[in-house]
Amino acid sequence: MILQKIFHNLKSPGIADSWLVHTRLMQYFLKTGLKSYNFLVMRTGLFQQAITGSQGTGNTLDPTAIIDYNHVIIGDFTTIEKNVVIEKNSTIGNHVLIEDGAAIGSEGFEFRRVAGEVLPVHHTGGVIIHDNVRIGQRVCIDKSMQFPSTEIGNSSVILAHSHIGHGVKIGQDTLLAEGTMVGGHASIGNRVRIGKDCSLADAIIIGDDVVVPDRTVVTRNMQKMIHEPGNLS
Amino acid sequence: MNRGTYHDPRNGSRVAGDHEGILMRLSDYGTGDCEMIRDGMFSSLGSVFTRFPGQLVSATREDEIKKIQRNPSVTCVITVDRLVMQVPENLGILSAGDPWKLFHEIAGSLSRQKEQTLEPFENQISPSAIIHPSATIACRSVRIGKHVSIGKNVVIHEHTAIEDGAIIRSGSIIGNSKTPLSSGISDNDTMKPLGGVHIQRDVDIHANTIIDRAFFKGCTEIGTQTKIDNLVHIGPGAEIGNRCLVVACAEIGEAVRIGDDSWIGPNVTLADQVLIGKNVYITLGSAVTHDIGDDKVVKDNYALDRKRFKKVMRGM
Repeated sequence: MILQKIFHNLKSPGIADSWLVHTRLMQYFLKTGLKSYNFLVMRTGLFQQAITGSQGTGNTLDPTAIIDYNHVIIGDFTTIEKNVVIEKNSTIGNHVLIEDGAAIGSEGFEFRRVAGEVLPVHHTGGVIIHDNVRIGQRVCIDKSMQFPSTEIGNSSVILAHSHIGHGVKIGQDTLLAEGTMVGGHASIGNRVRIGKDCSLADAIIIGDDVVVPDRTVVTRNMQKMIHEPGNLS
Repeated sequence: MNRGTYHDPRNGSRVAGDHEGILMRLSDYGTGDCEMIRDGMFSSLGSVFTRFPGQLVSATREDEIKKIQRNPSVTCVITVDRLVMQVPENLGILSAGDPWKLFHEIAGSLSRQKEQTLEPFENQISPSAIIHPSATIACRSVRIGKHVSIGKNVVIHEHTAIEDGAIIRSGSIIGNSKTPLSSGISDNDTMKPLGGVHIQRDVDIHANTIIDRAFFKGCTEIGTQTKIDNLVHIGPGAEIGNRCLVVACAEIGEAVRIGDDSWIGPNVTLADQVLIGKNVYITLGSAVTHDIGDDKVVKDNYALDRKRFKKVMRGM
């Protein structure tokens, strides 16, 4: 949690734009700090939290699916189709359907521009998929930077070619149509419907029972239904 | 350099035969639903940015015609009716309803001529590269550098060069050679592209991304330390600069040039043959159809100066 607070504070514009951060000494300090953190995460178990894997009964797992069985929990009566990739620290509930080519628990998109270089921040979190969820073809769900995990609530449906960023929370009975892009750390309520090819900015909050039309760009928090599609920025 | 061969230093391949020697007449290809305005000779295909001698290009927008006026190596243009008057007088012109489709048909018919195909070479895969057993790598003409990590279900096609330290994550396809305009079983299915894909040092490509092969000479280039997120599609012949960040679901068109340190936001669409400058910030959901200069912020279809944008945002 302390690490998460540090990363969050470094990202806020008050600190990121200040002259102190852009001094040569501070840039060197940040660069070595980030590089040593990445090294420790990759080579040692110091910041790693790994869950031990288990499998329920009645599952249909295709032999072409690649699942890290040692660190993935799978519930009962779950179907996983062809060429699905499920990475470390994923938890999948009961009666879940995951369709062809989905990538669950892959690395999130978090980079820092420090001292003229683009440095990655390695992710150690996971993904939790609750019961009765359907995940479409070629959907990508990224794992969170640290715990708590990216979460998808009960009875939600995510259709083909959608992208769910790191640290997203999706409530119950929510539908995300084809091609939806959800940015990192967004929070979506219960019974929400999001149309085709929408873009949701990072760290926004969408309340319960909201309906978003097709091809909408959402950059502000939303608490009620909107009727006209278009750019909300 | 030997005039008879074209040598590509990046992936060690070589185009046999003489590109500059074979001159083709534009009127030979002017069949079907197109109109011949002025005849001309060409010897190769390219985009409005490339400088191959005697090249044929396609243009559908006014700013593409302006780029052709500045490019002395263009000799023939395929364009639409309303732009015919703006083309310089010394160039051969073919007017068609769908210029890109005709351009791809010409590319397909040229690539079937035996002397214009790329010469294959043996795979050069470094022993320190980590390749998952489920990944599929073409049996020839692939070069993979040191400490490259290739994930699950990745497909790597021929004429791909991946430099040291690059990471390719699960489900990505590198070197896809189908053009977007080939529908069903057509002549384009037998097309053999003349280019490849070149991925430079420390590039990170996330899950389910597709990168197309260039169909004319040269490569689809991804610069050093550029990071590409999930579900991105990069068109044939695109060149992305160093230290760029391309976020999820972005769609980058054919032969686009992107400068260094740029940010291409989520769900952005870049039109074909667009020039994006250095240090550009394109916000989410934008559709870009014209050129963007250096240090600009693009918000939907509007372009603003980046410093002014920061001031406005702070004032809110």
